[in-house]
Amino acid sequence: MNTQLSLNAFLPLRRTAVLLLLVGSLALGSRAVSAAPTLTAAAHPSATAVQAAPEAAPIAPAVRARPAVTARKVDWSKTSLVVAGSLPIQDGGRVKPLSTFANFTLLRLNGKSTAKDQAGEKLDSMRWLLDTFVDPRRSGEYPIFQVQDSATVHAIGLEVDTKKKRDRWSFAELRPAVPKLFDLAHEYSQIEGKNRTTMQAQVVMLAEAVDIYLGLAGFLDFARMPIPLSEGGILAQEFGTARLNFSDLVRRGGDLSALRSRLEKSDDPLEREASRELTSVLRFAADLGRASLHVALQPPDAVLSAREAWHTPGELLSSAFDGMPATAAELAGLVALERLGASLGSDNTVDMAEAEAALVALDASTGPIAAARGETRRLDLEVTYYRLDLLMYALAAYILAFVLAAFSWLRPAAALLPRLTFGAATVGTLLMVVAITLRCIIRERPPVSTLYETLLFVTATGAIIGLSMELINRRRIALYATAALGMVGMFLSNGYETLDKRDTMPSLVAVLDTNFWLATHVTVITIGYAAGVFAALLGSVYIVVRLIRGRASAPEFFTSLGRMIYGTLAFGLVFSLVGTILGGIWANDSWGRFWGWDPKENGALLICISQVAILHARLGGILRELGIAAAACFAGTIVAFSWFGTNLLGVGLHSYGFTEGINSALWTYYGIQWSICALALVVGVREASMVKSQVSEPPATSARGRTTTPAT
Amino acid sequence: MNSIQRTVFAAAVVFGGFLSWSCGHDESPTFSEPLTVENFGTRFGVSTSERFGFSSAPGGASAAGAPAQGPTADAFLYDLPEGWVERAPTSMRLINLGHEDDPRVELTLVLLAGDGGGIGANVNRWRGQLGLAPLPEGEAEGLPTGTLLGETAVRFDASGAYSGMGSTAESDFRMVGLLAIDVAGSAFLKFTGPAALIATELASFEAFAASLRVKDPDAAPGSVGVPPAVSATAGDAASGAPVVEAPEALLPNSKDGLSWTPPSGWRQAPDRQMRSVTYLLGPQGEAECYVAVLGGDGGGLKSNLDRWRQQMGAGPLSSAELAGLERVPSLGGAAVLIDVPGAYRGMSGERVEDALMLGAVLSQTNGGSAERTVFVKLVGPTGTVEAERGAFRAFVQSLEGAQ
Amino acid sequence: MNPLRTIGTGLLRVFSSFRLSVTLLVFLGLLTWLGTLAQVDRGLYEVQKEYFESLFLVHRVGALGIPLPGGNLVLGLLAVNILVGGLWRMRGRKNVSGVIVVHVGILMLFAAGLVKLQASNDGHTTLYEGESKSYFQSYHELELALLRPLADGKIEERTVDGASLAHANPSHPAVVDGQGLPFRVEVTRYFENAGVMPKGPMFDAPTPVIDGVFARPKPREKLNEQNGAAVYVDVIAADGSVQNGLLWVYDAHPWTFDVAGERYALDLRRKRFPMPFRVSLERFRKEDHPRTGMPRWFSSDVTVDSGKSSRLVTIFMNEPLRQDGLVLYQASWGPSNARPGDPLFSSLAVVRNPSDQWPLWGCIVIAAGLLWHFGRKLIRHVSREVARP
Repeated sequence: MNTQLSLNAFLPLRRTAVLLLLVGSLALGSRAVSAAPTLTAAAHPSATAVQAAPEAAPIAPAVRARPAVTARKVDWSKTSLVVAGSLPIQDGGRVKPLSTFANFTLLRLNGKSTAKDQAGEKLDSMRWLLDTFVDPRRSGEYPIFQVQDSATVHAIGLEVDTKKKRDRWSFAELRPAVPKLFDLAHEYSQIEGKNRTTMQAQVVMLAEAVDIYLGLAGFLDFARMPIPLSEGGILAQEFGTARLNFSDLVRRGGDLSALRSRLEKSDDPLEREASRELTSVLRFAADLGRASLHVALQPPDAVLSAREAWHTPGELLSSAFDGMPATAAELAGLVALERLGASLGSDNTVDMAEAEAALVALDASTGPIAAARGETRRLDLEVTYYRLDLLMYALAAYILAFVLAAFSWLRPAAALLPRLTFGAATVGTLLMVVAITLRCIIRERPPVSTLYETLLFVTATGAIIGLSMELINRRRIALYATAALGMVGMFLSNGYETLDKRDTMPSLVAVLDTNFWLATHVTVITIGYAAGVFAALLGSVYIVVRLIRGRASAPEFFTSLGRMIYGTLAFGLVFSLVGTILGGIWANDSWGRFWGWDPKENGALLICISQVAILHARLGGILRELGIAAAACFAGTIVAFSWFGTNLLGVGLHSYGFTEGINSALWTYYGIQWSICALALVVGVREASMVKSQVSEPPATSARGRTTTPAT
Repeated sequence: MNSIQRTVFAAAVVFGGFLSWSCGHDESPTFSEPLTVENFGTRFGVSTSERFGFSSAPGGASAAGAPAQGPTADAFLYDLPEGWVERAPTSMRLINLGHEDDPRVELTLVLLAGDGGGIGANVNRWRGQLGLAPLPEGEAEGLPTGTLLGETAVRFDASGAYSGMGSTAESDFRMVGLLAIDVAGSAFLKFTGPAALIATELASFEAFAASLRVKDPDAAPGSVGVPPAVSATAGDAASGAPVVEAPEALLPNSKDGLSWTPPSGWRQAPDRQMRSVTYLLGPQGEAECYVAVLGGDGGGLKSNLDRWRQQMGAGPLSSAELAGLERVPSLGGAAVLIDVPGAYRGMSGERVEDALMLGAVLSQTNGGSAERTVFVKLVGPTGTVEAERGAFRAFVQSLEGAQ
Repeated sequence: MNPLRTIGTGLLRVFSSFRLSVTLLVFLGLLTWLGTLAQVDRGLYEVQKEYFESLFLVHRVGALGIPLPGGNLVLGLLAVNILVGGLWRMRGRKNVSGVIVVHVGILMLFAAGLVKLQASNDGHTTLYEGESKSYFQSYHELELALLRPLADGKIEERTVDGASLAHANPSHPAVVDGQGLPFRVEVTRYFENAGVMPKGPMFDAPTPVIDGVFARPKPREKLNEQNGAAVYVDVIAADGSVQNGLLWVYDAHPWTFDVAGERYALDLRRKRFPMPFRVSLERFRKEDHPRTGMPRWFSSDVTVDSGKSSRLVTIFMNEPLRQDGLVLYQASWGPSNARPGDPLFSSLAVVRNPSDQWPLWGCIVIAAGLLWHFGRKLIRHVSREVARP
């Protein structure tokens, strides 16, 4: 099952990626974001992404009661995978396809949305999830828990006795340490997030991951464990069998409480004993039901209720007992789940045909209910979106564009190269636009509503700005900048998704959940971010080229680049200023105050101030071309601070995002950008001393800075 | 002035005005003009303790077994009359005297934080112990008064068949006492015994009462009392009213004809229906212990224990298990203790995984048939409850019939 | 040369210069940035007052103190700069119509900010279902209220601003007088944040004990709304008799005293502002995202009774109620540790702000000006570039 995050696809591109080594700063940036703790010696981004989970022989636990798991003779059929992938599940407040759920859950546990089983075979998320549901013993052997810090492993009492550093563990290996893990995690979670050490944070994360896994592995327990009754007893007679299924209890639901009180009040001691048996049966069933609470695959049948929250098997039982019996369709779904769970035979192999039939039956029963509730309108589109994996192709296109741009820059005479570059960049941008549009349709929301989406949107908008600029002035500078921006932006998006480990289409908190303001304020401000970032990129190009070549080598180039920087800043100012004010108006409508000096608001204000200040400095002759380029670079760091830095402060009304790990990427960027600003100083000093040493200076050069007269 | 100067002047005026507008100068404060407004729940004449939340239901730690932080027997000075003997004070009775001639005679001093229900309730409680009918409403306030520990006290003097604390009634007893009752704290001096001996010793009693004084002049009953959390009004809740911190509480408590001593660290929670008292334990108040009293046998020992066990996801008790449960002395009889680990599912939907429940059921009997049944239940996360095992036992054992 | 004229021209040149603009903008940026970082450790309210609503401040870096102009000063000078340089000086120049429009828009925003700072009140009114109020109270500001119960059940109130009592101490009490009152009130102690405890026998009280209780000063909370102020007051009647009281923001009821046979009460409380209508909470509704604890939306059904008319209105998140110059917003709810089934209260933010809609108009004006100015330049630039071979 293809996923969005399969950077594995870049194996063939590894060769071309070597070129990226030449552009050190870009590589550093993406490395910092996408591979923070698993940093290896390799400096190129694709290599770190491709780095395989180390082939580690599973540590033989001290006592292994079960026989070793053998390779599976029959794998999940394609039908099973497809049907299961499109099953609707309600998670995180929205209904999504099970394939999305599988992807992001595995990402959360494993750090990547595909894994490798213990034999090194590739394991995609849907197969993993099905194995976890239906054959948890097998799934427990898969090394899918990413533990990055060996101190964590030691803390929970496990031995790391292989020579190679390993960072993936299976549940079976972790199991003996689970009680200690939960204890420690409970203790550490009392410490405030920012005060935790790496080890403590990792322990908490691992405990959460194990908890999620247990919820999935135990989901079908109710189907795997029969409920025995005493042979020939009153209850067995009532039910007509001595082995109860969970669904039998749900089916009888309502009469069970009546049955129990009848038995309780009876004079016959045998009947009273049966009532006690019934109570313990119900209690057992309730326990089983509790294990199924984490996966909501059953929509409430609309005929009975307009209830929002989907059911779990346990809830169906307690509702039935409380006088709200399950409808026929709900029962059919429950029975199908039971079949799925029961497809694990007593010989511990899964009857694939039976499992497939069960999945089909489940889809047939829950699908129509969900559709009738209107919750699956965009389900198929979402499955398609993730299957198409457009963003991966966009990244490929941008990398191609970047490589072509590099060649084109090295060989300016070749006329074909810039055209190909333009083509590649355009393809990449179009793919991004389509992807963003699909996301809008799927979530029925404007394009920007989470931090991840700002990354996508800024990259796409920046690319559009650059490509438009290129169309207008055909000087190739904008083109090269676009290729670079697109590539870096896509790497950052992927890296953010990996770090965040959560569904990138989440539900929003109440105050954010308003399409009008998301479409206006957020979109406009994000365009402002894009312009600010692009201007900084152009400014950096300006300074680096001027450092290497000197202005005299191509004055026209520098003049036009200077104009481009100015133009981008002006464009950015329009959007930043209007966007900031719109934000204030939104705040006024929500909370009653237009401006509260909240960190995010201050960040937006800083962007406006920086852009306004640069423009006024230009008008007043305080900053000339070089100064403007340097100021644009500095303004880029202000954009980065406003965009991500303010969220990291953890202060104020806007601290919605939890963006740990972004910090190092942010400071890397600051460092690079400030060094470039420092280089501008070097250029300025050098050229000033050059001017001094050339006594007779033609007026053109001394008035160089003034060729762009501040005609407003 | 020409246009330039006018502009400059205007700018200066604007600026100066802005400056002076934004920095106000300090004036001496005055009340504004009077304004008539509606009353949204303001009450006048409210006592200090009620204003700050230190009202009739006290809570907090006590001196059960631990070195007392409040008035103890040592805190009082008195002249011991002749023929009187000192007995060991109990958790309730700070002064416990007897007479060498008759062991049934008792002279006790009990302090309560709060008013124990008011004058009427306390007087009628004592009357009840003598088998007398309660006084009609308001009549208790008309009783003669005296002085106890420097405060005005109601004088009680009545005779009847005394059956305090569940013992069989003794006829021809007399009870004389002083009740100093105040919302901030009350003191009860009670002298009980066979009527003839009481009559003889009455003068000694009066002398004793007059001589009774507190060692620390500041520790008058009114200032001995301890606060629970301040309950914020809705208006302040939005801004987060903090919990009042207080020194460890000093005194035992009483309600519904029971009295007890809460262990150190147990914080009293607001009263709930069907419960005599509720305490919160643990650093975040994550565990809860309450006392409930039901008339008669309350449904039966086994059925109640089984119900509790069910809440923890455990099965019912067999009769062998029932017989094997631990008993501790309490309330003049024995309490049955259970402890059930499991996942707690409470009646109002609350859930605690990995919880521990400690329970006690005890009957207050009156000659064989249970007069009423007392339930004590403590449930919360295993770690918290485990740490309070000893305190729970002590708490259960501290239950006594109220004086 | 007329010296006044020279000075005038000089001042004009200074106030309209680009250098001043850039300098002020840099200072504003510096203040904004420092004021953002300061919020990590200190509360917003405190930082806002110090950095953004002041004329001067000293920013501390370790032991070093850097004097800086405050937000009010910088913004004030910037307003003058825009007025003189951005508007007045621009007249008669070519191609500046867009710029002038933008500057007018910015001045509109400044004006809105000034009005909000000086002439607005904001606060909240928090109600449980079934409760009603006709006032709202400030989140931060305090007042000392003198109450007198009237025969018809109403209350006669006089208030004095809490800030004017903040410097009270035993040697220099704040003496508050009122017209026609047979006593004066002296505030002898003022604590920004305090708890109130009963005096037990085992320890000494750092402050006077009144009626068995005393105020224990505590360090300032970072979130200003959590600071609970307390004051000691002496009521000195005309005949010289003194009554002592302890008041606390979180006390459940005011302190009652009698003077000359009349009953009065003093209350230290958050400043109250009357509303010209009465708001009753009929129903508070809240829905979470299914199977999560995240709130999806919440709203209050309120009855707004202005005496003449009464209507039922629903106030949603992002959809406030505007009436009689006040705006009521569904701001939040609580208590935050409520369990299912516990009663909840709804917190409605209330704002009286004459300049409420000015930023919207300012935004439109600014957007129009920017688009006009830069749009024209862009078109010129594009046509020039396209014409290039």
